[in-house]
Amino acid sequence: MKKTKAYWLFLLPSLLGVLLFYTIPFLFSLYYALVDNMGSQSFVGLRNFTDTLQNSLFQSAAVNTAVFVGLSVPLSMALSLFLSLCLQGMKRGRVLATMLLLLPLVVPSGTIVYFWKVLFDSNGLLQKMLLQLGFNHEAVAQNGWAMGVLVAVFLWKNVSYNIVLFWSGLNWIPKTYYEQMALEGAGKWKQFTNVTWIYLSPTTFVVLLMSIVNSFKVFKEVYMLYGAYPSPDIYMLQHYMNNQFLSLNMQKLSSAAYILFLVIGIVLLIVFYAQKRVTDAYQ
Amino acid sequence: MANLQLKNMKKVYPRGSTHKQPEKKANLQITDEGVVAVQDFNLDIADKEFIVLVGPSGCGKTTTLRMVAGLEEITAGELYIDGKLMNHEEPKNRDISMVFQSYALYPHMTVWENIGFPLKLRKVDKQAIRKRVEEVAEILDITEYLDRKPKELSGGQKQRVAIGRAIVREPKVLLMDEPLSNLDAKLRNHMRTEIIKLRQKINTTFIYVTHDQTEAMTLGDRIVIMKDGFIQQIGTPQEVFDHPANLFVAGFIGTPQMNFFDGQLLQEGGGYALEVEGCRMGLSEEKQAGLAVRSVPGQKVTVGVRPGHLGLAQSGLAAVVEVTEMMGSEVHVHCGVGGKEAVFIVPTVDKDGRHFQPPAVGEGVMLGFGAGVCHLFGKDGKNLEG
Repeated sequence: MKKTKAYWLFLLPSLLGVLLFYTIPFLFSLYYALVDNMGSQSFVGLRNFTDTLQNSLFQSAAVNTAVFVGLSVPLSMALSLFLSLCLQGMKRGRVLATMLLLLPLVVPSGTIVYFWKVLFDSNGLLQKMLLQLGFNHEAVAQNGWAMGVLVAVFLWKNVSYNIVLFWSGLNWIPKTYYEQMALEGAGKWKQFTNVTWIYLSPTTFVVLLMSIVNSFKVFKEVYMLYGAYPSPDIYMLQHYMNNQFLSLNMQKLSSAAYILFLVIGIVLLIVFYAQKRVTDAYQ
Repeated sequence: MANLQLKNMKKVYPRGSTHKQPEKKANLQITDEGVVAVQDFNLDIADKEFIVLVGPSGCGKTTTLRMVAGLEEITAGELYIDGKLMNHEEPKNRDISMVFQSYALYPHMTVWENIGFPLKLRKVDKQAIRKRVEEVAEILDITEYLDRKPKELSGGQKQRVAIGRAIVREPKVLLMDEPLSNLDAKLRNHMRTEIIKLRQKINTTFIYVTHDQTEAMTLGDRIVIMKDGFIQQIGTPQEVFDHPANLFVAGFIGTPQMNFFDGQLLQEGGGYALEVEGCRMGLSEEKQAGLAVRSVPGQKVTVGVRPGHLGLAQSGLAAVVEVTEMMGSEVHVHCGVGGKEAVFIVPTVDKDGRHFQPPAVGEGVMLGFGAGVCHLFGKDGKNLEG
């Protein structure tokens, strides 16, 4: 009994923080999503939700966000897995390579964004190089490449973190399996599909979850790169919500937030379910 | 189905290497090159022979096995399989299978798929794989588990599957690295018998690593006893039990452990006599002749006597009973002899069914041993009779 009390005592500060800054505002926003405006505050049912879903700006922001998540999550997972496998296979220079790969983890986002801005801005290095080479393209960031730049920024920021996760997962795989495979004459690909991939599946699910969550948190970088109103190609749900907040349209903001919450929730539930199915089968 | 020659094999783990280092508690030699895990390893293994490498942790037995498998580079020396030098051959080209202590079964495959996997990798046709997997499952009595996943099996069943996977492609050499260590005592005894039966059913050369001397004695045609990277003795179980080459082998082989007493070997009147703890003991003519052939001088010796060869006597070594252990058909009596501990075994029932009462704790007794059963070890620990 005493122990339980102690747990609660230690939990209290962060619990209070979560309640005050996340849970209570979140519940309030549900209320805002169900009333017509901040003045009369009369109940309108799901009208705010249907309005939001029919809003063309919201729709395009949702598509952009989905494209971004669909591109950045698999890419970051594949790249980080590939790099962790390379790191593991390295006989020399592993420490240096690890340090370089983990550098983005300790460099603040602002610095990274500034670096990308210098490279890709309308007056950026890449643009100058293209001009010198005789091309007269618009700035890369302002045309169809903008999404690519965003994905690249995401990868640069998140691959390091995933490498740490994958690497620790790789180190947990018993070496005996690889030795068994070597004795049986299995090649690298067979070893990967029958040992590495199987034993890495719990880690892969963690990386998938973290990547999905992080991909929805990319707003800071996009905002710093392109401001509150970027080109329509990269106008994300977070822009939409931020702009609704700036115009104090709490109904649109809250309903959009809840729709996003619902979608992320469903995606995560599917991932959790799949994870349980896969790991239960093996362990 | 192969003979092996291990010539002067040596393994050195370079300093600062990331490879698994032998356990620190072993007294391994450390040179400028690094830690010497195995050295001067010479052994000829005949076709279909069952060789057991036995020794305490860090003695180099697993390293030797892994060098044979090709999982560790051989630092020096040569390894021949069927007369062919194998030092630089890939593991897959050595036609060797291995059973690991941890089973290393693939968790996502059924028992059937696990056993058939080595054949599948070798692109054997499906029909042949089916036939062979069924044969192996029958040999190992695991037919009913073929559709299960490893997580649904007990330790003993997992070990059978691991053995099945190792023998399915009929390798030239079957290596087993402490395969029974993860099992409880009862299952270990059972699996030991199973391995003996298996050996009669398949034609292959076995190299088996264990730290358990009972496994070594019961399984091996010959056993190789190792310590600190060196071979201490190679011989049949009977040979190493009857004629241990040195103090280490004498103490390592046999349960309960051999008793050791300080003694003095006396040379008198053309013959030898023995004095143990101030008590004169006779030496058989055979033993005396053995010592004479080697011109062994009189000297301080360590006298080794197996607990089964030590017994109550009218006169001899004065001892006080400290503990008695009832083992059912026999009692192990632990006593103090001149500050040292000695164990002797007395049967609880004689051949006529009469019960024998072992001495009580605290009781003073006299212990003696036959003139031909003791082992004499010199200052360097070597058996004086060779």
